[in-house]
Amino acid sequence: MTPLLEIQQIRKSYGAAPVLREISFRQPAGEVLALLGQNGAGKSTLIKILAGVLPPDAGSIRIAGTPLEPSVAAARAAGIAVIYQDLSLFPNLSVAENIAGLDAAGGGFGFDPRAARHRAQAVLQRMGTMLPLDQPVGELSVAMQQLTAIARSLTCDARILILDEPTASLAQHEAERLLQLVRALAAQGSAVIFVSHRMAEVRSVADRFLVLRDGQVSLDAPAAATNDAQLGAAMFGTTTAVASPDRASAVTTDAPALLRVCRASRPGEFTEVSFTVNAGEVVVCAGLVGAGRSECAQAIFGLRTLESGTVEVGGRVVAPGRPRAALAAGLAYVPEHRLQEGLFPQQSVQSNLASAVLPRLAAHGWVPDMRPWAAAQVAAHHVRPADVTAPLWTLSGGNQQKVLLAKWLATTPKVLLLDEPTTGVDVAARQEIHQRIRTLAGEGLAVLVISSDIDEILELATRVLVFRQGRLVLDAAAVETGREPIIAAMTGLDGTALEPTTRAPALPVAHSRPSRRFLATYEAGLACGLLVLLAALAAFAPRFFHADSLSALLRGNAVLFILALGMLLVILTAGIDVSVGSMLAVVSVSVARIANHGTPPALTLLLTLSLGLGLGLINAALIAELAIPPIVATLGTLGVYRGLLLQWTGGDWVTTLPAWLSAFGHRGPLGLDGAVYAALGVALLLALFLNRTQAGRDVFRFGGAPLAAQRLGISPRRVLYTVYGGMGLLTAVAGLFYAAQLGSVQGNAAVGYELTVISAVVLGGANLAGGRGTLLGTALGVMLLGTIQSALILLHVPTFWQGVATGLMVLLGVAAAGLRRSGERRSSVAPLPAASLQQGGA
Amino acid sequence: MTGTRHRPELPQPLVVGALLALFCAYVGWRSGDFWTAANWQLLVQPMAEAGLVALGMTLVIATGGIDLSVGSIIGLSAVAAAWAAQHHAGATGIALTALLIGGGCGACNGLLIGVLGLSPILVTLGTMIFFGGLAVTVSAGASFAGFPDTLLHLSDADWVGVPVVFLIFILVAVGVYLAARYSLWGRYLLHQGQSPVAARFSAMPIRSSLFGVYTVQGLFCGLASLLMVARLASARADMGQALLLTAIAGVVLGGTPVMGGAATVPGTVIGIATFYVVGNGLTLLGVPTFVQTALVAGLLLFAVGLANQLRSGRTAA
Repeated sequence: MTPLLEIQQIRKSYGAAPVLREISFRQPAGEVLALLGQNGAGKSTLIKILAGVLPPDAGSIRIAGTPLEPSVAAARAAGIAVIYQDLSLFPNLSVAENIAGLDAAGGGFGFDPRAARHRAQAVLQRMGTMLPLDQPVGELSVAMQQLTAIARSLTCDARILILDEPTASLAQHEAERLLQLVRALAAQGSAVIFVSHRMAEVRSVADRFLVLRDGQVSLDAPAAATNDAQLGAAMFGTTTAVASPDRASAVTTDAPALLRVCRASRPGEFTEVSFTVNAGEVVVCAGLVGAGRSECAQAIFGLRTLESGTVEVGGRVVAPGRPRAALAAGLAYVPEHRLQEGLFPQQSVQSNLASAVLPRLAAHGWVPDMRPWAAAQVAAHHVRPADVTAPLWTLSGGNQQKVLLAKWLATTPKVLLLDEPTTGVDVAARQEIHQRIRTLAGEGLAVLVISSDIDEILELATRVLVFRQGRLVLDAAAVETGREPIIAAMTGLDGTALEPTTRAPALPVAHSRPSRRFLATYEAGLACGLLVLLAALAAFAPRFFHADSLSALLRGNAVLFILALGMLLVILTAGIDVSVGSMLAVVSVSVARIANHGTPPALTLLLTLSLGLGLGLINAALIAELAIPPIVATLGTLGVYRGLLLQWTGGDWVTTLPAWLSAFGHRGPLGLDGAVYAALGVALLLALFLNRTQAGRDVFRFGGAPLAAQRLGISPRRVLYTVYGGMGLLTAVAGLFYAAQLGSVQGNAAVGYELTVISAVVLGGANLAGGRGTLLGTALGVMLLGTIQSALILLHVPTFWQGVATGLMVLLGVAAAGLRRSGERRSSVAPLPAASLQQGGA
Repeated sequence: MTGTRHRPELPQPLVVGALLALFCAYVGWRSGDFWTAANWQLLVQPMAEAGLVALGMTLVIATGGIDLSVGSIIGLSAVAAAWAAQHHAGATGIALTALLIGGGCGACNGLLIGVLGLSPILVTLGTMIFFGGLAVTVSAGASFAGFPDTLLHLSDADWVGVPVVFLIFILVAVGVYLAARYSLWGRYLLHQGQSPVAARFSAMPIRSSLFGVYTVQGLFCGLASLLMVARLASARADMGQALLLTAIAGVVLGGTPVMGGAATVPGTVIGIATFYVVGNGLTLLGVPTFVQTALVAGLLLFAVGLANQLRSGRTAA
């Protein structure tokens, strides 16, 4: 019988450095394979090759006997699904769309949100789980996001499921449910490849072990026939047993309390937390993910502001909410995510080492040569390689962690807060870090370690603090308490239920109701602003509501609206197009000149639209092919398009247009302009495109999480050509009406117009970081800008004031959006609804 | 996991500098007027104005931000200078007014971006329209030409044959270079540009650093508006608008990454010089102005694209 997955002699090198040398193995259906190895053994590379993200240098992959092409699409089609550590989800899209969005129409052209929802529901039922289907994934807890990612892989009928450290950020009981799920999937006939650093987990779930060392298979054997010593030898190359730690010497009771936290609270995060850490103590803070431990530690260090309560270091109260005050008081917080929060990956090792002590190294505001200082630090902390000018990202994970620790020890802290200091480091590095922590405590520091790993807790702690749902529920000596009671306190399975008020809410149902969501949105705020403005106009300038002035308002803003729709498309991908003004001038001058040559209308329209599309595609090519950032690329074409146009026309005016073209600017039915109907048509088409086609959803996917989109086989190239080409095409449509409305055009037309267009989209609430923005908001933004201008004219305010009013409007919009964002941030850290995970068995 | 080779220094300023040198040699060969003192005196005046804005912009972009309001700040400062001149303030008074208004506008940006933490591109888009609107309103859209001769003299003054305007530019460039490379403030700005989260977690004074950088940019705009007023002998609300794109293009051409995290001050000087030297050379060669616009913009795309290709070629090898 042919195995489901067969890997033969895969090789891969980065530059001259071989990462994988001749990897071969086979995996039958229904087997759980644990892929093990130290950091840098080649696990990640192997996974990327299986996923089609990287092509192998040599060797072959066969799925049920058929050779696999090295591409993401081919791997997906063959039934390989990879769930990366970062999950590769789209935070801006709903759970249902994340799970079933890509395949809602069987991988076809259309997108049907209702079908996606049904499919998502069906898959979740099969998994025996419930998730809030309509909520954006970015608002969920990590555990729920993990389930979303697994559910997604099941919708595309994955036969081979690869899980890269799926439990790394899960709490114990969440991890156990995940393992149950893995076993259930294997029983249904999937092959599962499971990567984890937690040995107990691996033991409980794996049928077979595959261990990599230095890019080679060092062990491939059934789980039942392998003991821990063999496994350790395969991973580390020696059979030395892991040394049992010598616990930090018992702390004398009269040691001074260096850190004292008193009734600290932050709503939604932690409540009435009080504890002390004495000099020489290692206190481990245990709990489930989301129990409020990291939040509490960050609040102690001033990264979050305490709502009530105090923090004292050495008997002195530390000013809340100010990291620099905390640092000056002798606190140091070593964050969990070293590359995002702790370090600056692109900068040199020395620069990273100095990043928390710069004022101390500097003299009179100037930083001297810090190479000797940094070299001493590197030597003291055994960082490899010892080159202080190497960029940090070139170091291995363990060495990065050493740099991070060294950076904070350089501040000579009295109290050290370590948040999950051993995540993602191998066993040897972990031992080294533990030893270091004990030494530091021995030197008289007060150390607080946050850890979710029960073995680590028991190994390190002189005392353990257990958090549950934002409350400190246990404060006791670790060893005397023992394993089971600590787990019971973490999970709440000891019967000591908290009073109902502190219990995390069940699913935040309110979030999923569209009406409630709308009221809280920025669009609603905009609409209210517009209404207030209209009411004021009704009172002071009733003439505004005359049919003529209303239709003039619509007429005057239709072109802007069409352009704003194109810009929305671009901004959704986190791009920008500042060449719009130039493109508009090129198109409107060209259409006038072509039409005046006596070209038939149909051909003129075709030529104009092709011209607009062409200009947009040039922008797209510069961005997609040459990797020039959008703002630079379109800044360049802004000059090129305008310069060529002026050279062509010599600045001459085109003042007469043929009758058929002028007719575009005439009143149509209902006294409305042709441009207004065109704008409505464009809006309708765009709404259909964005909401009902896969290509349209790809714009949101790419904008919300470009890397995740790429991993799912969405081509960034195609998205970029679509949006910048679309922008060009819409500019051509706008240019037709622009020329027709004005009746005369010139090469210097619409200079600086791009900024008005961008202002309207931004005022409409689109996020320049990509992934978020609505047609409704854009329409409201355009209306608001237009209404203000008309109002100023009607109220006889000198036109000069328009800039001031518009500028203030945009600033207000920006401030409102800023406030909304900080509000969102507050609500998104609400305690995790553990109830959802306990609903329904596997 | 990843290789241990260092990332090569950005080759972009070198590429641009080499192209510029070739261009100078060619124009010098074709036109006898190119290498004359008179030509260079004319050339460095507008270059210094754009250069000051570009130097400020280098620091702003290094923090991962952008300042779209520079043109409007220049306009408002110039209008304020005109107002001071109308009230017989004297050259020093006029200069102080322009710097004060420029710095004040910059401080507004700094307050909104640094202290309130709003998005730079959005804030400066708003203040661009707002300051521009104020300048038009205050000046009622008119231009003003009654500046005292002592101020106008600034444009043709020289020190041992070197135009004072150029000296100001070079002095500021050296100052910005030293600040970006060796000052504590410069370190904070670069760290912020690389990773705002890590900078916050490292207890760096981000708010005041950002406030400072936008204020400095405002001051440079005030200074640029003075040089402009001295050269043109008049002030108008919209006189700075063209400098925004030139300044950003100069910074980018010089090799400072648009996403922030690094600052190449000598690159910015080369980038800005390229725009003005190429423009001047093309004029001497008789190329029409409109084609110049297109050529210079094309050069920006070519240089950035080429540098990208060189870099990716090197990392792929």
